[in-house]
Amino acid sequence: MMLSETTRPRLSRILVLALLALAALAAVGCTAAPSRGWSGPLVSDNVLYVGTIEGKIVALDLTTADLNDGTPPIPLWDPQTVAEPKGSSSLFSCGRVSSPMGIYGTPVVKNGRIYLGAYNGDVLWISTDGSAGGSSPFQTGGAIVGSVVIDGDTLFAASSDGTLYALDLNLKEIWHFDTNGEIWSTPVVNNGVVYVASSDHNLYAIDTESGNEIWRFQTKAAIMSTPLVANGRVYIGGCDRKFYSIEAATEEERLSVAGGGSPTVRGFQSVFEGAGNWFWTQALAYNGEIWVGNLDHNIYVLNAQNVAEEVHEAYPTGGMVYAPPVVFPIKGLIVVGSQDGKLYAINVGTKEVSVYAIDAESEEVVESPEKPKNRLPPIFAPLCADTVNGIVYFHSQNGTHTLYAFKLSTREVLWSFRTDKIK
Amino acid sequence: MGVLNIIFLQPILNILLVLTNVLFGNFGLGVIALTILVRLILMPLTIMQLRSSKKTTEAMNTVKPKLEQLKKKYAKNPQKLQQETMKLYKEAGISPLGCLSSPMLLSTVIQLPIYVALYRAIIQAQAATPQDFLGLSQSLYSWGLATQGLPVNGHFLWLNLVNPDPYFVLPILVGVTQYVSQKMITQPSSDAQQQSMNSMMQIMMPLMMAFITFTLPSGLGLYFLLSGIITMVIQYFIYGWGGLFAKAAAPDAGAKQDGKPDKGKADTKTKGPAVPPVAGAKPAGSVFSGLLDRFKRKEGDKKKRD
Repeated sequence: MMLSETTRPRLSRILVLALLALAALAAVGCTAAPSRGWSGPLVSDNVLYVGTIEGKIVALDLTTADLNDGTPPIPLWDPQTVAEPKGSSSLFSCGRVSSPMGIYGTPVVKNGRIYLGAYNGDVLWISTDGSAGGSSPFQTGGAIVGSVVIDGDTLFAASSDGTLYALDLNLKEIWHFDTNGEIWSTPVVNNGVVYVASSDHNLYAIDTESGNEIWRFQTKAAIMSTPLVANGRVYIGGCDRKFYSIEAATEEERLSVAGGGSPTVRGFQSVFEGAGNWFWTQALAYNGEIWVGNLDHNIYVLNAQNVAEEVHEAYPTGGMVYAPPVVFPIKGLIVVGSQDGKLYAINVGTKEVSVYAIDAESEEVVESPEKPKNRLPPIFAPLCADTVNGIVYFHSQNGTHTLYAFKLSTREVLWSFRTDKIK
Repeated sequence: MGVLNIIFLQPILNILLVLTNVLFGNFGLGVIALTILVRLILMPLTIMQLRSSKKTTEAMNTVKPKLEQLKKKYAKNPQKLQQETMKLYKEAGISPLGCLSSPMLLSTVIQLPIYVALYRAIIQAQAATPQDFLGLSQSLYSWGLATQGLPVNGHFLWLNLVNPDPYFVLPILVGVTQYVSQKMITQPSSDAQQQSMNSMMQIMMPLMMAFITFTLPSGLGLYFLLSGIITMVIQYFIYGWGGLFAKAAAPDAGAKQDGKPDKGKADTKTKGPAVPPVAGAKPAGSVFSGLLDRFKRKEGDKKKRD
């Protein structure tokens, strides 16, 4: 800096102050984005269970909700902290989420127990009456981002340490299967075969009894989505922007590897290459069609027999589609949540789309193209469909985390419950 | 998505991921290659900036004796001093705006968003959490090479590039390179207040950089370190060792009675611009040398007492 000699010291001081201000600005710029996550709700015996980003399990008694005045249901028991939130709160934790994260996965209820995987890597259970679990948590070596799955007496949990664990219902390990990448998706079990996708670019088919690999299907990028098994096929999309249909593992193949046979490499039957971004969510099979959301903001409808064929033009939404679609068969509706905070209900017969834009404060549904004054936060978590009563439960999360019960026929929010306000 | 992101961040981020994928999926090598690439592209601007700075410094050294004379002459008339100083600068072709003048301003303005984008690209590419990874999807081109290496493997040497260096090696090295780099371009000043400010900056900036490196993912520390080394090399070719081994000028140093700068007595070890000569006064080039002086005086006093 070089103004006149007389002003130079003053400018140097200004320079030092500017540098300090710049450092402060950098620090502020490096603070964390609001915590998100996608812990979806589960309804079992009139109780709604949901995990929270703060690591708590909430059980809401749905019979206590007053639908006339919108009073939310009362927790069956005090929400329990089951997992200490993991995450840095450092001021300089640039680019990383410093807000703590507790639970991503959707809980699973079995034999009076609520099972779940936590972001701190623990697999655990608590009793549905709210009492603490009888056994210590099973610790995996990485964060659990997907949900745990129970098939018979075996629980499957996939971890970011790249391993799929098979546990008994008391959380004792039966076997584990290592992949070469992080696993962020949920394993899927069908006919004695567990399918799991890994960021090592592979989808694996593994014998549930022996833990032996039956086959692997390799793509050219990480696979973060959860596979769907239907029609004797496995449907999955990857970060290579492609959506594949692969022949499911046969009983002969399963028995072969259970007896010590070698695994094989699977090819695909058909592939859809028309998407503009990654596939992140699990697809839905309905009426001979495959419905799948994409991070390019679209919902694609593909022919289940040949996914290369689009049976309908893609449905656009206003944001990335992370959450898998749910179906209301009686109404013939497919409902999808989007990053834009809106619900899209698509009539399968008429192909008409109803967009439900809910005002985050008044909770009134705003007719399109009018926009709500207070936009609902993004919908990341899987939706839960009460197909009998036509209610869709969804967890909207971005800084504030709110659980909504939305009735499709009357287009109204029955109640809402702030899960981030739980003490 | 902001225009700056589209122009700067996205290309840099995608190239970083492609380089990582090509270099055996090693993110550390990707960061090194990208840093070198960006610095090579910006080399003409950096050189232009440093040359302009050097030219200004040399011109300043030339007018310094005259400036001192003006100071003495108009000691009681600051307004006249200001006018005469401006006139002198104009005659010498020195912009009164110093480093804010073109082309230095131009090169700084062009480089700044690129460095900020490079910094942000390194952070984003490391997407450690699922939501960071989702965010990354919105910044990537449809290039297969950019996506194939995801998620990046953060292990490089002893470092996990997603986390800060557990052994503090990077923060120390970043601090040292920052100190050396600054020392090379900072010329000793005859102005005591300016000199004191320079000394403080020479300590504060490296300490601040070391602290920031200590708290940030070491991928960024790697970028800071390599960028600092490249800066030092470029500076060497423009300035030589510059002020690195030079001692501070004492008041009125560099001015001969005839008003000409004493070029012949410039530090002969340096290759760069003529550093104002030291006129036998006590050295006070940095906080360290000041402390050393104080220590020596104490030692001397102690010996005398003994």
